[in-house]
Amino acid sequence: MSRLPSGGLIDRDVSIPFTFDGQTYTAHPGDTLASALLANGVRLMGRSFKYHRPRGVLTAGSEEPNALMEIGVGADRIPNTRATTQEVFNGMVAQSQNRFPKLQADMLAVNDLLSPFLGAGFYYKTFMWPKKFWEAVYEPIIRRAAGLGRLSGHADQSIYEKAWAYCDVLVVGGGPAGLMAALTAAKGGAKVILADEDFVIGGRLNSEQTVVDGKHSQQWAVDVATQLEAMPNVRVMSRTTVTGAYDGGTYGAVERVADHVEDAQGAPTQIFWRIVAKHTILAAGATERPIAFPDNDRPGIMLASAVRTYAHRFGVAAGQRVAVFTNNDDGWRTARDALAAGVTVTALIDTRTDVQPDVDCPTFTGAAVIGTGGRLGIERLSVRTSDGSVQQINADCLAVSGGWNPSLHLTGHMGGKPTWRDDIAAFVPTVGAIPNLVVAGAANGNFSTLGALKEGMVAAKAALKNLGLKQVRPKMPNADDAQDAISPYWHVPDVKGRAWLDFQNDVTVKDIAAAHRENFRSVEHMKRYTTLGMATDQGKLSNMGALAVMAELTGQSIPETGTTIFRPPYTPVQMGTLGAGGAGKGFAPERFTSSHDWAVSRGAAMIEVGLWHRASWFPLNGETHWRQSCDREVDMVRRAVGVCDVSTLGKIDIQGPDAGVFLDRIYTNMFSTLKVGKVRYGLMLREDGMVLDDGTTARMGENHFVMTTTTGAAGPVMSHLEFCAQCLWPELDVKMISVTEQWAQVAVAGPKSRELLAEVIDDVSNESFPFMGCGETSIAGVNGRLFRISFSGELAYELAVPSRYGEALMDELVKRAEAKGGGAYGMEALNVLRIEKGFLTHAEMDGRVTAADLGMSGMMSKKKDFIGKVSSQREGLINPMREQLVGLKPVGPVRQILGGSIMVNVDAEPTRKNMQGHVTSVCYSPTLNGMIALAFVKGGHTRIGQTIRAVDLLRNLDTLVEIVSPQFHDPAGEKLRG
Amino acid sequence: MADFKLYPNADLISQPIEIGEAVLACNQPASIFSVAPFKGQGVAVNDALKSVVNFALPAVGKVASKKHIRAMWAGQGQWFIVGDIGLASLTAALNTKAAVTDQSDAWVVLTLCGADAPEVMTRLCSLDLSALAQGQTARAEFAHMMSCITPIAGGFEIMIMRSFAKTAIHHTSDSMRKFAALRAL
Repeated sequence: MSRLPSGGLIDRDVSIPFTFDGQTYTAHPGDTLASALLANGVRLMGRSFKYHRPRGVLTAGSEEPNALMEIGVGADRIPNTRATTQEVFNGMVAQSQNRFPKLQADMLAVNDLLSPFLGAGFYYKTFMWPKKFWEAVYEPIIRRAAGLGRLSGHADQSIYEKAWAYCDVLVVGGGPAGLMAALTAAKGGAKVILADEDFVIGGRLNSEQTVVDGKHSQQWAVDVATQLEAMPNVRVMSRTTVTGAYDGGTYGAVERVADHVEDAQGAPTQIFWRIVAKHTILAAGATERPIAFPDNDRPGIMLASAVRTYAHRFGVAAGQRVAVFTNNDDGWRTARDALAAGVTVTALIDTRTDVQPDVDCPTFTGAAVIGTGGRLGIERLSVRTSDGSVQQINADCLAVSGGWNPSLHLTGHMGGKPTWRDDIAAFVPTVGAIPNLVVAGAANGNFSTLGALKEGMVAAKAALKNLGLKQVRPKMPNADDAQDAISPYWHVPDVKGRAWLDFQNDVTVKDIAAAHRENFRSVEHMKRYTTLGMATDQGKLSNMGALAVMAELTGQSIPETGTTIFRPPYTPVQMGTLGAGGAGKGFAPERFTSSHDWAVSRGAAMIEVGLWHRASWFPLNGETHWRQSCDREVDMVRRAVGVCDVSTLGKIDIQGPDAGVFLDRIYTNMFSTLKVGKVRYGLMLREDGMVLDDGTTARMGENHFVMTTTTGAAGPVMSHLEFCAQCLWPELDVKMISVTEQWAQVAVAGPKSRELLAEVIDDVSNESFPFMGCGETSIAGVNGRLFRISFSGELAYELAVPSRYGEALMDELVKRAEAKGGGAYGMEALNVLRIEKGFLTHAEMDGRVTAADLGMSGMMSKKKDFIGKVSSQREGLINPMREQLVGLKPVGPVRQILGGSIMVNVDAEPTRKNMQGHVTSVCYSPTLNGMIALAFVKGGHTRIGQTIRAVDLLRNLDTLVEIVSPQFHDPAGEKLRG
Repeated sequence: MADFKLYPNADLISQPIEIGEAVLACNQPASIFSVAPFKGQGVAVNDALKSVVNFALPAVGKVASKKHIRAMWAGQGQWFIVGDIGLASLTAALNTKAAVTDQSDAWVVLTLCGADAPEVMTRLCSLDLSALAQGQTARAEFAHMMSCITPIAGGFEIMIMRSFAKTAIHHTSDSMRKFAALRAL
């Protein structure tokens, strides 16, 4: 056991059992999986991506590249979880990944022996031949061998949520700078959100032995966090990672709500937040960077800051014999802290020559670690001393400190480039990289505790000033003001062996050199060639080292070499979280007619039309196939009377003195001349001359029209009308509003429709309601509207009542229809009826057809201008050989036609070049006793009577058809006028 | 003429849905009418309205009310008059001055109240509702649907198009459940 006898923010009174690779261990509340494993003496936590080298935990934070785990079982299993951020919960099941059969003996570690052949870019060079082997053989093998965790293979059952939050000041990071910023802003009355990715607020204050305001820094952090949580204008969001900076002060953030509990009990596991902030203070701290030296990836080799975190925050000794390798004063602190905790420090190795570490242990200055040894973990290291001699040192933990990199990632999300600072040998954020975002503390390159506190306060005061809020002067706590001296040292030179830069993607110093040798010298090329920084840690630890190596090789400075671009997210985000709210019913809203429940109770099969759910057919007893129901319903309408809910069609109320003129400009045909009490079919074009939509418009009063649109185009037509009224012709006095939802509308169609309606409405005579007549009416005391229009070719009406009566009206009319040998019909029958009649839907008006293509040139008024008129006369649109709407019926032995078939001439090969058109709508017509279709055929209007073929190459059907008029049923229109 | 009666559809929420510290209910007004004044008729419309309902059309984003009848801004050049008022009296008063339509059946009026209501709303609506004071109203997206959101005593009123109401109730109660579970953690 490596648990220290005391200390740490853990509850030692409570023990939590968990398993790792099947073995049961115990942790304490406050432990991460990494700290718990270390406490249990487990150093080996993973295998590397490419070479399957044994790896241990390197860090204590979200930048961890090595200790990635699969957490959970079954559908709940989440791969690639960083052990350093995952809190242990009761019964947690953790598994190592990317190993076979087990972590201690991974067969694919053979890759490591083959490493001379597997360097950067190896597969670009190796797997060139034969070409077709790439997809079938090489790629699957490589993907299997190289990798991260496994997906569960089950649908994700976790609950995710999305949410929005607004604040005056968003503070990113809850370390000294963030806490001080939040406290200052909150005291000034600002609405504050403090977000920290950790589950304990405090940042490095929890990881160091330091004093703030006369108390232990851990206690100070607790006190301030408690104070903030008690303030009504503050929201403290722990376990919340701000993942991206976007336009307008918007930030993406992931809150891990229930990843740390055994059973979420219906709570979302994660919430994806969009936080909109007037001001943002980035106090994200800094991450320590490693130094590259041969075999620097052995388990037990850790960042010095992580060694201190495990000791102070978790009460865990990372080793019993610790060595420290550093290029800065911060490393000394690690040695001192280890000694104070009673741990043996076997060596302090400092790369600098001009320093005298004041630490009570063997020290080596001007020295470097040039190699390590040990099976599945470090046992010894080789030190090249200042005189060139090599010494062997025993150690089961090597703490490495190469200096600190400010966590400036968010400031790069809008394209900002960082600024190099020689004094700290690091990039810092450039001022103004993100509008209204100020950086404070270590994220700004100010590494002392006091400096961070001060910068946090200054940033908050500036925010308060900009917000016009009161200026406050919170008491500035006392704290350590030491800025550690550093001299840059990126990798140990003149040594043999592989020195790792990117631990997650297995990239070494040699790989960078190879990239340079092969002329991939721009950082962007180097990154892609070597894959450095492209793993889930996005190069948090490796980018700087690689830049430094590339700078050396090219003879440029680091700032001249430049950086790659930081992009969101800051840490990996689960796809389920990004898609929160979009699964299941969240995918799209459902719209229901007021007769929906009634239709379902009648056993109707429902179909989605746009967002609407509509009855597709109403099966009667004994009907087992939709065609049986559909054929019966069609026949019923043609012989008796059918009733269909058509409420989903768009209805737009248009009023105003200029309503008539407005419609004249919208439609191709004239509406200002339409008499009150009459309905007219209209066609509207887009500005480019193509058909936008069709439908009927009724004139209810002198200045009052009601337009009907297709179901699918209701929204687009409404916005088209608004655009025309607001932007094209603001001088017209016209107002419009959707009344689609106000009216339940029922089609009553068939020779007995008038007879049926006469039972429920006072006057439906041909005189009062002639074909294309309309007017107010009343049914059972409810005010309604009646339109004598037909989408079936039969004598037909549409009756509208306020939506609340939609169900009752359907029920009443269907019962009465059934008594006359009729009944309800659904979308399938409606579609057959309109195809038989040659009426259009958006299957025909697919956005590529003109009025002329549809045979409606006659509807293009010559007396007036209208939208699309000029464009519709363009050369390409009046070509008589354009594809034109026709009807088709089979004339050969094959009696079936398939929708989507291509048209080819009788003797032609069915190829793209020979295409004569395509089939848009097909149906079996019970009226005509056979299949019929609507189609577009080149020059079709002049080819009536010709024979052609409809060919479906996918479903292997070749049908000889005759081109006929699209009006199959009652072409003279006697029935609907009857 | 046959003697029969058309019964209105049952309410989508018969009993208020109470989950955690939030209550979702339906509070359907007697009627909702849209009013869109014609060009240059703003003053005339306001004068006419004052004689019928005793108040003028409120400013953009605002609500005006008197005795259970209110007018709420509902979009560009458009208001809703909500409450117990007849279409005939309104159209008579506003004839030729404004376009009036009956919207009583087009909208379902939901209320979400209780201590959890503001947090539940953050899951459903992207607006900063803490900035929406009493007397204000906004057209906003609500769980991917168009809505009018109005703060009321103890919570919010959500007007949603009738066909979307079931979806709105589903998503709202779902968010209420998730939030209650989250608080119980």
